[in-house]
Amino acid sequence: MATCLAIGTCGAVIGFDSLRKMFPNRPSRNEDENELLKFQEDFLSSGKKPAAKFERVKKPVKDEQQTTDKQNVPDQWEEMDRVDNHITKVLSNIIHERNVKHSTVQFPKSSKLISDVPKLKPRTTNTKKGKSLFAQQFSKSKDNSTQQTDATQQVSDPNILKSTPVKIDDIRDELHKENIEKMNMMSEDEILHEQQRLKSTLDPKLLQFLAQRKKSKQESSEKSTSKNKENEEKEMKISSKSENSPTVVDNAESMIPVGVDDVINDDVTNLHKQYPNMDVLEKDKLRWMKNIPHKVETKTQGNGPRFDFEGRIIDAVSTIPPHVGLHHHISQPQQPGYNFNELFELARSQVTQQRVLSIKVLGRILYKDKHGDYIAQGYPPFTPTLLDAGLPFILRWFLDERSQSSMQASIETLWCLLAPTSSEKTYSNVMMSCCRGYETNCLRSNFEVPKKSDTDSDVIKRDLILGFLQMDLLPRLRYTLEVCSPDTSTINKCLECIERISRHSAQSSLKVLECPRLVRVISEKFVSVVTCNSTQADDSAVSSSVYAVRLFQTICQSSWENAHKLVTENVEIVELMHWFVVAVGGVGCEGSKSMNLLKLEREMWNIWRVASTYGLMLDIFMKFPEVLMQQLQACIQIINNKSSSVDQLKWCQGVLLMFGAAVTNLPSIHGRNTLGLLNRFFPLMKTVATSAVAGVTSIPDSDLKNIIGYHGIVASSLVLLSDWFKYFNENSEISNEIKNEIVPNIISPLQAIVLREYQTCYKPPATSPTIEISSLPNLGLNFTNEEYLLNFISSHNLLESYMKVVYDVTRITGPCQSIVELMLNLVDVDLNKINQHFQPCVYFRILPRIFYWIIKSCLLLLPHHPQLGRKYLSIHQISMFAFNSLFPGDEYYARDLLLHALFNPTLISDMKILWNETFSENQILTMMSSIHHTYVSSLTIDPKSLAQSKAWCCQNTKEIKSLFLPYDLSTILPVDWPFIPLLQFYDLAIRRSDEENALNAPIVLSSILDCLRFIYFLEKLRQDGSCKISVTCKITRLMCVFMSGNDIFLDDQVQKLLHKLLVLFLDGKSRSQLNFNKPIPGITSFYDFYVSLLEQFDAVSFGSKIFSMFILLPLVGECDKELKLALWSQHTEVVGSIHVNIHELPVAKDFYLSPIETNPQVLMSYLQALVHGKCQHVRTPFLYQLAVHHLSSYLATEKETKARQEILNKVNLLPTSKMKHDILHNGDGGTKTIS
Amino acid sequence: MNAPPAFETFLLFDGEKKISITKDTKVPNAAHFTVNKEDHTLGNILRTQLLKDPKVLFAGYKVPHPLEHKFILRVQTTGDYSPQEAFTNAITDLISEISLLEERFKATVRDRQQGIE
Repeated sequence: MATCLAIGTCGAVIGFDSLRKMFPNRPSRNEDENELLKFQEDFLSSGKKPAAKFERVKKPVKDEQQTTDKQNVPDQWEEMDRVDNHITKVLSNIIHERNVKHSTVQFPKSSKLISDVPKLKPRTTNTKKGKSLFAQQFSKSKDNSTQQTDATQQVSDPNILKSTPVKIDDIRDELHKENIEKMNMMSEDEILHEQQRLKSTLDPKLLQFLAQRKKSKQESSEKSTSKNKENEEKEMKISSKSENSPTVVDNAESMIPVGVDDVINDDVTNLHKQYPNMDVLEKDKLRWMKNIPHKVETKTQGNGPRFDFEGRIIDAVSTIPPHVGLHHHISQPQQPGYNFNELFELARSQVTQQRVLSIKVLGRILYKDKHGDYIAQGYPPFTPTLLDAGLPFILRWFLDERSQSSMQASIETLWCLLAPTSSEKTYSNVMMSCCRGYETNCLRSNFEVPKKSDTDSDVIKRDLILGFLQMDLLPRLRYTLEVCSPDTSTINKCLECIERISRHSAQSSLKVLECPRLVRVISEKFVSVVTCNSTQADDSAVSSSVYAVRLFQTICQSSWENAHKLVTENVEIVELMHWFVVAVGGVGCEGSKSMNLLKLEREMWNIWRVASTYGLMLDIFMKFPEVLMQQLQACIQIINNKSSSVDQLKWCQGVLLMFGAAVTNLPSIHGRNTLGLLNRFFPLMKTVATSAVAGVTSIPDSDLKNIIGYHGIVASSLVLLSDWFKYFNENSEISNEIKNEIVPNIISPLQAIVLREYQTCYKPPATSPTIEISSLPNLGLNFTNEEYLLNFISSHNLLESYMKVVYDVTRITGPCQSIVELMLNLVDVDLNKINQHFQPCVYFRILPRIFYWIIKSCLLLLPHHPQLGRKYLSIHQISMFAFNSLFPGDEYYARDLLLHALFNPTLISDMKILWNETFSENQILTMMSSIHHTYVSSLTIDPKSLAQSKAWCCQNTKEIKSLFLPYDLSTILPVDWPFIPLLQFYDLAIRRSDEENALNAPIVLSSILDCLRFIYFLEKLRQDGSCKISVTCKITRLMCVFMSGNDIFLDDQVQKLLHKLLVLFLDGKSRSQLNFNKPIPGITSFYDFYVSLLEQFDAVSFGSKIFSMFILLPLVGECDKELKLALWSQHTEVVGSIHVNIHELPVAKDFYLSPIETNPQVLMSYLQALVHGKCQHVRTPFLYQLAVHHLSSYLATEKETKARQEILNKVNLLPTSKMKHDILHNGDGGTKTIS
Repeated sequence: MNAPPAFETFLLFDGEKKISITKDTKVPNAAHFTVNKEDHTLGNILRTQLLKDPKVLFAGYKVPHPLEHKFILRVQTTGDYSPQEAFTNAITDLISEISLLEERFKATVRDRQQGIE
């Protein structure tokens, strides 16, 4: 039957006529099995060929082929007839539906054909024919006169087995009769025996139900014929069972609880009567036919959250109808959705579809998790769990499968795991068009080559990408791309995955390059496709080539060697670049190009820009100067045209950036004589910049899209100018031109816009939470509003390039009044606000650079303009901020600031106020230079990264080795950098022996003095600079002074400074802020540090008061008892040397005196120190008071406990003295006597 | 293998003094006593003895490095008393105290032995 139906569906396409011819005696549904078998025999004996053949049809490769197939439909049928000659083959094969995706399917014209098709008769009209063989035989031999009303017939029956009631009704009657007859023939004993057997096998509940039913039936119908009870019960049992059978699934719960097996038994016993080959039933396989049980409220949620096919979390309360397909049949069929266990179980299924489905769902979960969807709902991140559960291995195995669908699903999930968030992509895109935007963050600073002993899972736990590399992911992806010919989106995802791998580090980029034929295949398949087919290139192919070029760009960024290898080994890239420059070049601005082609072109400009920073591919520029000239002219047209689209503006920006790169790099590779060539472009550059400025000033504020576009253009043209100005020194031939053209036409008109952007540039875009996975680092970018991010970065970019040009202009032309005014405005910035918003995040990378260029210009102007000199405070604060917040990669700028701005005597001239009483002006100036020297020598920046940073910042083409910034999302210097010299001396001291230290003691002393003076200066006059560090952190760092030498703290000046600083730090601080138990950054265990401090005090302090104060500070209030015990019981000798008086304490005495100590161990140590005379009223007044106070308060307030009694006993045993009196009479002058 | 020879812990080098004194420049009435080839055994007992002297304001010792067999004792005294005096006094006191201890110990042992016999 099933085969007939299947042929029917095919027939819908083929046409019914041909089918009729081939099947003159088509079996109808009315025929019983005998007839069917007969038909089959007839057919086989006649030797006719079957009408249909079933075979796996390979997916047609090309559309053209498909259309021809469609036209030759009759031929196909003949072909089938020829090949296949047995019906069993028909039954054993699976129908493969033809791919009709691209063909128009017409519904067969019904008017003529409909009458030919045998009509389906409703099953209920069957009388005799529909009976089973058994039933027919039965009816032949038996009289079917008995009638019985059937209660269950009225029950509505939504079940699939719709037609059965009638038949079953008959069967039941027959069965009933037969039973009665049989029972009549049986003896009483036999009947009883049989009854016993039945009772033992049946469910007791069922028996009970039957007995009840019988009772009620007896009441309702007295006339029911029965011989004896056993008989009737037996009869009832059988009849009820057969009554229930068609509806049992629905009624199961309303009637009696029946085991699953029973239900299936009853439900499917009848299947074989309707369908051939269903007489042997496999219950397990038929379980799916069951309706899902009603939802049971289980309190235990089971194994974590459940997800739907889209990866959304399904709440426990939501009611989702079963037909949605979320109710599987594993452990909790009543609950919709899948949890992780089930998904992983399904991922191991034998059925491809189940595997594909589960892996896809896992991919969607990963994707949503990456975008913080679950964290926003209050769930923990799931990705680490999934990775721990071995998802990478499952994905890897999946890739090896032969079926297209599982390969696709696996790549999709891999992409979900590896690909950056959409914000990260937007960020990379927008950063790329910034000044120095060709630098990018790699995602691992160190590439650890896996050891041989490491298993794959070890490596995966440490670093996912390395693990994938070790598991030969790249060759497999290459195979997929080359052989499997997946669809475009899979290709793109595949390419994105490879890009992510190459972004990992320069070494993994090299692995991508070295993977056999991978890069070859990509450039042949996806790069050359554009140049070969010229303008007719398939759009989807172009979209893949965008991804391919982006991958190449990342490889180029990774290192100079990789870029060189890539460009020389893959001429396609250079050809494509030529193609864009020459064939499309100047006409690129016309709107005829497809979006993808435009994108591709931009990516090509980028890759060219990246390659040219290493000095590669620059000859293109030399080859086609005229074409490039045309391009610049086209840019001017686009910029001047008010109706230019955003894409066109982006195109212009690409051209300008490309020019910038050429201007920067060409002379250093091809010699200074190329400057002549570039000089020809200079007038055009000026015009571009002027028209861009004119454009940006004329567009309305509301036109946000265009604003971003124009900002980009202006920024890029400014970058271009500043790249050009690089070649000119002060007062060179160009300075008049700048004064007369650049300043009035470009610098001045932009002032208003720049100032407006400057006021709001620090407000960061709102971010959503991201997940952090140690084995798969990301940039942690996930923005709610990506438009704002674009705006944010582009405004930073504009500001940076503007400030850079302003600096260059000032440098070349000398001071100029309009720039001075601009600077006066710029330095008036609310740094507190910026400090509040600033975070060490990659999207703040440009902000400190903006300030850097402002400072640079100010430093140039300062000697000439006293009105700027009056703003020294703001300028110094800005330079402090910039210094604090520069990111890795800008070490060169940081060093520049350190050398020229931070300790610039003009900028820190207010230092004189602090010491003008003790020192003369000259002395203070020497002091400043000494401070400067101390910091310059101690804040050393790693020379390697400094050299690389210098190459980036100065754009020294030949020195740039890589464009990967280190994966370090924090600022270059720690926030506590003013304390660094102290820490360094401490480090030296604990490593060196006493004598060596003594040798350079004067240097150490003067350096420490310098450092303390500068900290004091910052703390007193630049409060916002170091406010981000906690008090405990600062005090701990000051404590290092005591450790860094045996007599440094004995120096008078050091003591004074330490005291001043202590007072400053503690001013207005509450007790909770002085909690040294909280983790202090930079110190793993404060306890150990404190103990070594105590030892130092014990050995060398001479009872120094300032040292004592520092020793006492951590003991404030609710400090850890370990710290107190360290002093009072382990280093009791120290107690005797702390001569501090109460009035000398830097904090209120209440900080120490309350709350009352209740720890018996500490109290006992107090008492012991008192008794042994370490703590005496005369010599150690404060500690004496502290100990007595705590002891007496404890004794007075504590309830009668064993510990109190013990202490009291000990006190009572003391000889009469002032101390005993003080303790017992509440030392502070209280009168209450303790008993 | 490259452990320093054991005698370094107690044998003075040629020309090396057992004790040297330097005056502290920053603190009044204070001095550093560097005692060579000694360790915490002597350092601690001397410091404790010095602290018993009411005229000693501060006494502390330090072993600068575990591989340098010496300790540095810092002593500060009241104005009418020099650190050297305090130091010699402490040493004399300690010697007498230890002799007393020795004497009593021997006496007790003798008593004990006679008692048993």
